[in-house]
Amino acid sequence: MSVGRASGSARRWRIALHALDRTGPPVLARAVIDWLAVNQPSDRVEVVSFRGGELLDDFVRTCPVHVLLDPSEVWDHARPDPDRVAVVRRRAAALAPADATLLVSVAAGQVLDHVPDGGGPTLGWVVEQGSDLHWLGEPLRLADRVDAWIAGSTVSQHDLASRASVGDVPLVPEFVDRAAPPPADVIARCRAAVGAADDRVLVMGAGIGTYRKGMDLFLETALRVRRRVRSGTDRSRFAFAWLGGERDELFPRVRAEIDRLGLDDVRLLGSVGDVVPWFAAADVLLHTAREDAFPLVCLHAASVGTPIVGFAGAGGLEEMLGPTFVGAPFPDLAGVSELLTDMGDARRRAVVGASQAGVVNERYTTAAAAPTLYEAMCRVAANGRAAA
Amino acid sequence: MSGGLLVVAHEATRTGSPKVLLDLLRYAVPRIEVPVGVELLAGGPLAEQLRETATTRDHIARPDAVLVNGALAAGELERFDEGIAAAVYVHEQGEALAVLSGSARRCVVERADRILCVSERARSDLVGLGADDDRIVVLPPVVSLDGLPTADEVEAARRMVGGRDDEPLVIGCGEAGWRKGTDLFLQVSSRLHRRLPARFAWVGRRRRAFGRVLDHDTNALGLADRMTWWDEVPNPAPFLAAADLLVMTSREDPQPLVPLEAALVGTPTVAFARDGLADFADEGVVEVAPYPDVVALAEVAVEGLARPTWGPDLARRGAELVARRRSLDIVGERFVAELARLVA
Repeated sequence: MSVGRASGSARRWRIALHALDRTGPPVLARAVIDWLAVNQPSDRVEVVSFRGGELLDDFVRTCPVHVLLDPSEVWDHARPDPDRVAVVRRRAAALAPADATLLVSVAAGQVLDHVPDGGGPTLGWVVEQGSDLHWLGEPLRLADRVDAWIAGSTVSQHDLASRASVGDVPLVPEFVDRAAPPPADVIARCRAAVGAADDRVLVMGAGIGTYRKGMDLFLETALRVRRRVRSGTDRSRFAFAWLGGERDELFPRVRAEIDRLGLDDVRLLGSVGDVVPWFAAADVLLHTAREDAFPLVCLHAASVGTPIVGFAGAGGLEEMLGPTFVGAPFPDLAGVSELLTDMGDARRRAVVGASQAGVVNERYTTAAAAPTLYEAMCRVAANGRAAA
Repeated sequence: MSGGLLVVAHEATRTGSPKVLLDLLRYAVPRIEVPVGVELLAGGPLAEQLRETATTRDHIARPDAVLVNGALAAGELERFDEGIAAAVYVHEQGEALAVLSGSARRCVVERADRILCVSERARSDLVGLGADDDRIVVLPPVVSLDGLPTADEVEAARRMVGGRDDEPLVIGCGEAGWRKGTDLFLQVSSRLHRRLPARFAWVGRRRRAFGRVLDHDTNALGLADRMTWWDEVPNPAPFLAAADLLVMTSREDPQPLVPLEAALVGTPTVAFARDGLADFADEGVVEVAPYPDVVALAEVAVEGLARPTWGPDLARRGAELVARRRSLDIVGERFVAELARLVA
């Protein structure tokens, strides 16, 4: 492992993030850094993140990390406090020069006002959709400041093109590390922790506790499925669990609703360090996001063979899974509930899980997709050198 | 000045408890023989009307009696001497009572000489908190309209929210948010739209953050050209009268007033079987589907609207319930008696 060690022909990368929390972009960046460590061992990486988060500890084990803001610090990009700007710039001053800067998400562009010159040309990897692309306009004007763009999904590609004149935006799909299947005893303990007996169909959801991730819709689907089961439509017994979101606005509301309704088979687990054992323990991943350009949680689940049910027209899930997609148009909860109830059949789960795993493991693992990203990074770096 | 009755209200928004207080004060103040002052802890569109019910604008430093509107504000009683008679009109129940601050809970349970509450369920919750049952009296929220809307007002309201003569108008009402289930209203509307060429409207304040969710869902459901968002209005009666159906998709609604207000202007209500809405269903005033089965609720609405007598029957039963138990004449007289007792 030699990421962080310079050599004569080494390229130097500055990887920028909006935060080091357990959201998609930091997880994606972590996969990029791991790939570089193995496949481009002479390259050197430095991370600059606008905010910190629980993955800081993980990142510092791989490369130098610079976090600009203090935890929960309020920041007004239009009228920042000059004293704080000075502090933040001092923190960023230690960044080494780089051949190129990779923004992992448009939101990562928040660092650009504060990092020192010498970061090379900027490559923006847009992985968001909809209103999350607001950073393109005022006050950051990223559309004018980023030298080249790539898109993590066609949804992001389309939304970027519709909001800014940025020229050609090649598709470089998002990816995750392909995880080894967890041992059976770990899976069994995960199921036990959720309270899901072996004969239960464990349906898991995951994400921050916001309307965008549809934590409310997860609960409503659970209620509908329970009703179907109770009314005898299906004999399977379902259990539900949601990972993450305990610091977000919707979490206490959903929790109160679960309490009020006395739903002892719907559990909220909060954040976990590694989602893979939990997804491997689940029988189905129910993804109820209203908007999610290319949900990494679905890549994680599919990569370990857990079938996914979700919405069409709510982001990139259909694109990700192609013909193996199982879902209903957003927000057809009745349709999704019906498909989920069908997953009470273990044979169906096995078939869907295997077919979705085939697609994801072929196209969206680090090994499959990271080289395309690296080519794009090198092109941008080369253009910078040529311009210099 | 000193003496008289001081009424303390926690806010003056156009929500249930300030509206109920306003109606009751308008009825009761002319009927009691002591000076009445009104103190508001926070503002709102009803602030001036609430203040106008007072017989004195002077600050009552040491009243004979204090009535606090809402358990959330009950902690205000701590600033009055023990010798001053105190009452709290508790509009909350269930979880809202369970999460009261220590001070508010102490004042309700230990300080108040009389506790007015809105339902038997609330009485039971209060006893569970430690309040003496013999100090509690159930005073259900009064339902009143500022006169029946005229045909012109109704027609104007219908046009304002995009209603057409040849299409049913389906309406939701209240602060657009999680509690009122406005997101579920959109889902029901989407289902209804597949069966009926209906128009949809929501009348009530929208906060910006949740508004973005609602706009997203409206577009995603293909309702953008059929759904109208109309801000809070001083008098919702013309809008309720303009609708062919009121859909209540509340997740929490301990004491819903809107279905009864709608009934008074002839509009039927379908709802999820939650809280007070389930109670209304037991009395035949609204028709319900299990929460949060949007498909079933849409089906209830479609089937109901197809039967000519269904809507008028529901509305008639609602109006009868108001006349029996919730009219100003009935609730107002009991409120006057409570105030007289408190001051005495």
